[in-house]
Amino acid sequence: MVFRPGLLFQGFAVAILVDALLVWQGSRLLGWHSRVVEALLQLAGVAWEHGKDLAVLPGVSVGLLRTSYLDYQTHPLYPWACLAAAVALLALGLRRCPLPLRPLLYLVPLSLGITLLYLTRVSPTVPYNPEDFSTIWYRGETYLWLLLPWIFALGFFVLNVPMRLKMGWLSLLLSYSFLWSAIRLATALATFHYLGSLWMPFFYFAFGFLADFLYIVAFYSLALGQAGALLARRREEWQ
Amino acid sequence: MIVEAARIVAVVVLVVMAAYTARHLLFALHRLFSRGRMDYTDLAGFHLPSVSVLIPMHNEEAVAPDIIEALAEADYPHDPQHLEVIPINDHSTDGTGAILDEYARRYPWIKPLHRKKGKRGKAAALRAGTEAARGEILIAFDADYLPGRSLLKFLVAPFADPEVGAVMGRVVPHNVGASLLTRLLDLERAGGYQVDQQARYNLGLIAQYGGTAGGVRRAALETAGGWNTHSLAEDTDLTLRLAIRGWKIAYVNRAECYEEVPETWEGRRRQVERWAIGHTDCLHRYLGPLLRSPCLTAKAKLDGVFLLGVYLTAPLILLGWIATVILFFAGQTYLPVWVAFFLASTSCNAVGNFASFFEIGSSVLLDGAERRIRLLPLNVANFLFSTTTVAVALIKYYAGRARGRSLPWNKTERHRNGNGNGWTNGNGEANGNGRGLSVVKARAAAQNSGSS
Repeated sequence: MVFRPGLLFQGFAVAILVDALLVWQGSRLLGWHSRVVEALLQLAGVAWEHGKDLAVLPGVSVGLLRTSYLDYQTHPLYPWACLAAAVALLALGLRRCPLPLRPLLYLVPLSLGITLLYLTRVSPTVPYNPEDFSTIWYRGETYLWLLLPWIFALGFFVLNVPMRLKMGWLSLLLSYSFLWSAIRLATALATFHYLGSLWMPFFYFAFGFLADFLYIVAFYSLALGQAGALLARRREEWQ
Repeated sequence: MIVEAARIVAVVVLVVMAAYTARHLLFALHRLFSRGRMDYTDLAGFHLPSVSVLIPMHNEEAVAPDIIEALAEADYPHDPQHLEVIPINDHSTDGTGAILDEYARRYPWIKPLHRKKGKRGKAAALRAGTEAARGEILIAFDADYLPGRSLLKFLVAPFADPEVGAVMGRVVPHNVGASLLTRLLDLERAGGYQVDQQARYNLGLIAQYGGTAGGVRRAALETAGGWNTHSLAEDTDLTLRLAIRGWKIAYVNRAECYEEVPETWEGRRRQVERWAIGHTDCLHRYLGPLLRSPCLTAKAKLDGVFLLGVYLTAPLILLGWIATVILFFAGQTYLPVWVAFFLASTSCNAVGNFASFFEIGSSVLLDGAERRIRLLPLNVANFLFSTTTVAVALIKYYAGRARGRSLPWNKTERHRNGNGNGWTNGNGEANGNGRGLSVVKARAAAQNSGSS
C-alpha cells in the first residue's frame, strides 16, 4: 500500500522533533546564519558592525548586523535612476518574455514606483533601517523554518518510502532554506548600502516570501518525483 | 484609517485562503487514505438506457471528424433504441455542416441539427439538441473531445440509481506535449479530477457536472428547468440547480475522455475569462437557493459556497497583496502580514480548476505519473497568469453588471488538424489547405479499402 495513515503520525512526530531541535539549537543556528551574512557582506565590501540582540523566540536570539544605506538627501537622482532602469528593463523584457511570466516583470518597477511615491509624498525615509529589516527577516525566516517540517509531514512523509529518503529531503530543504536565506539577506543589505532603501519592499516581498514559496514547491516536487520513481520500481518488481 | 482597513483586509484574506488551503489539504489526504465511494462501474455494460449524445459545434471542421469517428468506435449498441448522436451545427461558417451531413449519410444513428437562426452559444445549442433528442440520458461532449471506446457505458452506469441526476467523467488532455502550457494544464486537470472531483464525490459534497464528458438524466434536466441559455457556464449552472433540488451528481474517475487543452496563453486567457465570469455569475444566482436548500447537508452547502466563490479568490489575493504593502509602509509587519502573504501564496492554486500543490502531487502519485511532478514549480507562472486574468475578467463582469450588459461567449481555439484552416466552398467541397470534408472522404476510402 502506497499510503498509510500511520505515516501521517510519523510525519507529525518528526515535525515536532525537528521543531524542538530547531528551537533547542536556535541561537547557535542563527549565529551561524549571521556569520554567513557577515562573510558575504565582507565579500561585497559592505561595512558592518554588531547591533542589538534580537529575541526571535523564547530562549532563541541572534545578534543583528548594523549596516548603512545610501542617503537619498545627498544622492537625490539615485532613486529616479533606479526606477528608470527598471522601467527600461521592463520594456525590453515585455518583448521577449513569455506572456505568463510578464506579471513577474512588473514586480521590480512596481515596487520601486510605490516606494518612490512613498518617499516623495509621505516620508523622506522608509519606516525601517537595515537593522529593522534584519529583524523582520529573522522573525519571518525562523517561523518558516519551523513550518517546513509540517509542510513535508503532510505532503511527503505520508508516502510509504524509506525513512532515510524522507529525512534526507527534509534535511536538504532545511539546509538550502538556511543558506539561501543568508544569501538573500546579505544581498538585500548590500543593495540597500549601494542603492538605498528604495529596494526594501522588493526584497521583503518578491525576494523574500515569493522566493521562499518557489523553493518549497521545487523541493516538494523533486522529493515527490524521486519517491514516486521508487514506488514505481517497487510496483514493477511486484508485478 | 487606511492602515486599519488594510489590517482588516489582510485578516479576511488570511482567513479565506486558510480555509481554501484546509479544504484542498483535506481532499488530498482523503484521496490518499480513504476508500472511494461506489462509482457504479461494475454496472457498466449491464445498464444500457437510451442515450442521446449532444455535440455543440461552431466552426469545428478541424476536429469534428475525430469525435464522430471515436463515437462510431464506441462499444455502446449502435441501434436506434440505444444510441443517437446529435451534432449541433451552431451557425458555423466553415465546412462543419457538410462534414456532418457526410457522416449522416454513412451512419444512420447520426442526426445532425443545423442551426442558422436563433440565439448562439453552447447552452442554446444544447437546448435545441435536447428538444430534438429522444434519449432518456443526454450525454454532452465539446467537439474537441475524444471519447474512449467504453466511455458511454461507464457514463451511463450510475444512472441505474434513480437518484442520480447527472454524471461526470474524467477529462484528460491528449495534446500534453504540445507546449509548456499544455503540460501545466495536464497537472492542473490531474489535481482537479483525480483528487478534487473524486474527493468531493466520496465525501458526499457537490461533484461538478462539467458540461462535457458527462451526462444528465432528461427527467432531472426538465425538473431543473433545462439548459440556461443566459449563462456562460451552463455546466456549473446546471450542477447547482440539480444539487439544490436534491439530485445526486456522480463522478466516475474511470470514465476518461480526452480533450484538447489550449496550446497558447491567449487561448487560455479567453477560456479562463469565460469560466471566471460564468462561474461568478452562478454565485450571484444560486448562493441564496443553495443555502436554503432542504436537500443538501450542511457540509455540502459549505463546500458549495467554496465552489461558487473559487474565482473570487483571485481578486482577493490581489487585495491581500495591496493590504500587505500598505501594512509594510505603515510599519505593521511581523507575523500577521507574513502569515497572510504566505498562506495566500501557498493557496495560490485554488483558482478555477487549479488544485493546490498538495492535490497535484497526490494526483500524479495516484496516476503513477511521478515524472510530471517536476514541472510543478513552473505552475507559479500559471498561477500569476490565472490570478491576473481572473481579476481583470471579474472587473469586466462587475462593470458589465453595473451597466446591465452581458458578456459574449468566447469559443476556445482549436489546434488539431491545422486549427480549422481547411475551408469548404458552397458545395461542401474542400479547398484551401485541403482539410475538412476531404479528410472525411479520405478516411472513409481508407476504411473501405481496409475492409475489402
